[in-house]
Amino acid sequence: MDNSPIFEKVSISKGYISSNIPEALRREKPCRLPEASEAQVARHYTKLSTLNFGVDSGMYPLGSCTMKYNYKILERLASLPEFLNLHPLQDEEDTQGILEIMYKLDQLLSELFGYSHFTLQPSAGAQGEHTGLLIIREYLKSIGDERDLVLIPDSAHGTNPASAIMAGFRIKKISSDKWGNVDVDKLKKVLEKEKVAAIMLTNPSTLGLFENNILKIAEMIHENGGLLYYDGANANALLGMARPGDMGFDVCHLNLHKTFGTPHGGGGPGAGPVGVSARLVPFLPKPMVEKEGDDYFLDTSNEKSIGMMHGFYGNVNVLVKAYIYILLHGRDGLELVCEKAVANANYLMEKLKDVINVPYDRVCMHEFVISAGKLKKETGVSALDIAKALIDRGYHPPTIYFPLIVSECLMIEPTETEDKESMDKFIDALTSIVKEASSNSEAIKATPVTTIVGRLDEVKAVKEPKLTFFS
Amino acid sequence: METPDSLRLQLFELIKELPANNVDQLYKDIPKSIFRPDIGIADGLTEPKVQLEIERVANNNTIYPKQKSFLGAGVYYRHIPAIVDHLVNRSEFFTAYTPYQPEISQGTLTAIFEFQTYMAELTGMEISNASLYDGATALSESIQMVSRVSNKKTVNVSVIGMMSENYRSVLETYNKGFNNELSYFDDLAEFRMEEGVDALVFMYPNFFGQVIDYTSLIEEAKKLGTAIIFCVPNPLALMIFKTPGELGADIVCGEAISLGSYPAFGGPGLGFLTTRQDLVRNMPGRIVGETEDAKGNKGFVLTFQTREQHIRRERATSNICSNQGLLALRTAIYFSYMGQSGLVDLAEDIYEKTQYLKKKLSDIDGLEVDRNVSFQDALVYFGEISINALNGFLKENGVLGGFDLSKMDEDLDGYCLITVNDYMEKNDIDELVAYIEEFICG
Repeated sequence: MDNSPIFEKVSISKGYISSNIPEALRREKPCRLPEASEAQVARHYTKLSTLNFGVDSGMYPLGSCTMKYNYKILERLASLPEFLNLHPLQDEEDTQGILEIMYKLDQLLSELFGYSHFTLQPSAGAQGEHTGLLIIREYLKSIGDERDLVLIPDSAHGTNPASAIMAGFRIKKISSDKWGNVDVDKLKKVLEKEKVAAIMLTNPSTLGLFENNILKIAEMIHENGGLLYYDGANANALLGMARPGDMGFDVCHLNLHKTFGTPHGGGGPGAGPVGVSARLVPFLPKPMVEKEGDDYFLDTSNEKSIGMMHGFYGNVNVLVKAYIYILLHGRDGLELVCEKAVANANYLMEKLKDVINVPYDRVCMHEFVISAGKLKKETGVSALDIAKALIDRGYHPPTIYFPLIVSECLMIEPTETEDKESMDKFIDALTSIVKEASSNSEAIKATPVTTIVGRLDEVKAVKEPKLTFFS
Repeated sequence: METPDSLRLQLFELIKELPANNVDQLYKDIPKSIFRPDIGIADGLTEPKVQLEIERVANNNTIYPKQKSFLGAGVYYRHIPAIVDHLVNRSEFFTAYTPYQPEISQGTLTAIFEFQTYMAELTGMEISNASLYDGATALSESIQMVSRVSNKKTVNVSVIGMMSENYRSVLETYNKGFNNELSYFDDLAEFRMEEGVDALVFMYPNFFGQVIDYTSLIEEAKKLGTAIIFCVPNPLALMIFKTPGELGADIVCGEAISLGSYPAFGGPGLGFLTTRQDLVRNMPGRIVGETEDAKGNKGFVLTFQTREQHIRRERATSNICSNQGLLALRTAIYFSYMGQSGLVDLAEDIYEKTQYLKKKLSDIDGLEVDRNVSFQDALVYFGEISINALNGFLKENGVLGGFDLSKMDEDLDGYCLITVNDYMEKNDIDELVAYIEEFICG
C-alpha cells in the first residue's frame, strides 16, 4: 500500500555496533533502521504527501482553526540562512537582526491588540494559556491574594481547563445562555459567593458570535478582584476592528499559525505569544527583547518574572513569518483581512440557511455553526457522515461535534482567503450531500470512497495498540 | 498577493448578497466605544519591498562558516541533507492541519508513525509520542507523568548531572503550578539515594557533553521503586552509547532539533518523549497508531485520544494541542535518509573529533580539559584567561568560539564549552587550537 511505512518498502539494516568507545558505555542492541537510497526516500515521502490534504489542496473550512492560505513569501524569507543558521547562544552583536524582528513584533502585536507587551516564548496557543495563567497566579501572589478559582464557559476549547489545572488553579464551569454567550445572571451568582482569580473567554465564542455583554462582564470580574483572560483562537474576527485590551481583557494569547498566516505544518510548529496589560508586565517570562540606543538586547534582569517557558526564546522562525505577514498587510490590509473573513462567513451562512439548519440565526463573525440534528433524525445521516462525504467531493471537512452545546454540530470558518467561486462550489457540494441523504443515505454513510483508506477502526487502534513498526 | 483594491471589490460583491448595507453592520454586536480603534501601524508593503526590508534585517545577523563554528551547548550545526528540505516543503505536508481526518491525512500520520518508531529505536524504548514543544518542556511533562503513574499529587524528584540553566528555569516555571519537590545534583558524587525519592532524572549526555555511567545508582533506585527518567539534549549520542532503555529507563525525553532541523535561533525545536507500552495512558501529547478500515486496509489514526484535552478537558494528561509536527516529519525523513550506517558513522565521527579536540586542547599550557567521556561538547577550564576576550579574538579571525558558561551561570566563571560538528575536519580543529595558543601566548 502507498501508505505503508518505509520499513515495508526497503530493507532494514541488521546494524553494527561501534567499537571505539569504552565497553561499559557502549550501545548493545543496534537501531533497526531502513537502508534506503536517496531516490527511494524521495519517492516514499512524495507518495505520502499525495495522501495528505493541505490548504493548497483545496478549501479547508475547519472552524476555529483559521486555515487561511499561507503566502509563500513568508517561507522564502524566513528560510534565509541568516535566520536558519543563527545559533541561540551567539553574542547579541551577531543577532541584532533577529532581535529587531522580535522587538518590533512585540510592539506591533501590542498596538494591534491593546497591550503593554507581548512575550513571544510560548510555542502554541495552549502554552500561551499556561503562560498567561502563571502570570496571573504570580501577580495575585505578589499582592498577597490567595484566590485560585478560574471560570471557564461550557463552550470553551478543551485546552482552557487543562491549562488552568497545569497552572495550579481550580476550575468552575459557567453555562451559556441560548445565544452561546456567558449567562450574566448565573455569573453574578457565582461572583457573589466566590473570589475569582480569572475568567477565560473566547471572543467571538466558538459559535462565531461576539460576546455582546463583554464590557459588563469585565466590570463584574474586575470588581470581584479577578482578571480576564482572552483566548485568541478566534482573533481573526477582530483584527484591527476591536482590541481585547480595550474590552477589559488583562491577558491575551494569539495563535500566529491561525491569525497571522503561518503554516500549520500538519500539527505544528505554531506560536502563542501572550500580551498583558501594564500591571502584569513585570511577571512576563524572561528574557524580553529590549532596546538601548540603536542596540537590541535580551533582558534577563526581571526579578518578578515567572521564568522561562521554552529552552530558548520560543518558535522563533514562526515569529519571523508572522512579522513578514504583518509587514505585507499593514494596518489597511489587516482590516481588510478581518472584513473579508467576516463577510465570507456571513455569505456562506446566508446561503446555507436554505440547505441545512443554522441554529443561531443572526449575523455571525468569522465562523458559524450548522446542525445536522434534524437531518440525522430524518435520514440517519450525521455530522460525521457529512464530513466524510465532503472529503469525496474534494473538501477538508469543517470542525465537527464542537462546540459541545450544539447537537450534530459542524463549525465552518472559510477565512478571508476563500473566493466567492470556491464558496459557491462548497455550497453546491453540501446541498448535494443533504439531498442524497434523503434519497440514498447508505451511500453517504459509506463515504469516503475516493481515499486510500475508508473510515478507520479507532476502537481497534486502542484495543490492539500498534504504536511503532516493531511492536 | 491580492491588492487592497481587488479585496475591496470582492468585499463589495459579497456585501450585495448579504442582509447588510455595509460591512460595519456585520460588526453590530461590538460596542461602539471600542469599535475601529485608532491603530498606529503602517499600511501594508508590496512583496518586493517586504523582501528588501527582511533582507536588510537578515544582514544584521552574522553567521560563520560552519566548519569554523565551535558553538553547541544543546543546539548543533548538523548537516541537513538537501532531500529533507525538499520533501518537507511539499505544501501537502506544510499547509495541513493536525491529522484529525485520517482518510486525507495518511501522509502526515504514516510519517509520524515512522518518527515514533525511530525515537523508540534510538532511545531503546517501546513507544513514543508524536512530539512536544522542546527538550525543556518535555522534561517538565515527564515529571508530571511520574506523578500520574505514582498516583501522587506532588512528587519528589532529583535531577542528576549538569543541566542547562535554561532547562532549569523552565522546570521551575512549570513547577509553579505543580508544586513538586525538585532538587539538583550537578555532580553524581553529591547525591545519596534514599527512600522517598519518586523519580531520578539523568541528564545524558549532560549539558557538558559528558556521558557518565549511572548503572549502580540506577540499580539502587530500582530496588526502592524510584522512577527513572533520562533527559537527552543531544540524541545522536544514543546511536553509539548505551541507550536509556538498556540502562533501565521508564521515561526518556529530550530535544531532537539537531536531528534534521536548523538551529534557527533555538526554535522551533523538537521535544520528544518515549516510554514503556504499559504507561501509554499516562503519556502527554498526541500518539499515532495503526489500525484498519472495514475492508481490512491498513491505516493510521491519532489514538488514545481520551488522554487529551479536547476530550478529557481538566483531567487531561497535558494541555498540549499543536505540537512540533513538521519537525517530527523532518526527523523522520532525516532518519530514513541517513539509515543505520549513516547515523552510526556520523556519531562515531563526532565522538572521534571530540576526543581529538580534547587531546589538542589539553596540550596547551594553562588549560584544563574534562577527563570524563565527552560527546560533541568538551568542557574546558581557562582559569584566569578571559574567554570573552578569546572569543573576540577568534571572531576577528572568522571563527565562532565556544560557549562562555559564565554567561549562563556566574559560578562557572572560567569554563567554556567547545563543540565540534559534522562539517569540521581535523585541520579546522588544528586552526582553532593554533588561534587559542596565539591568544594565550600573545
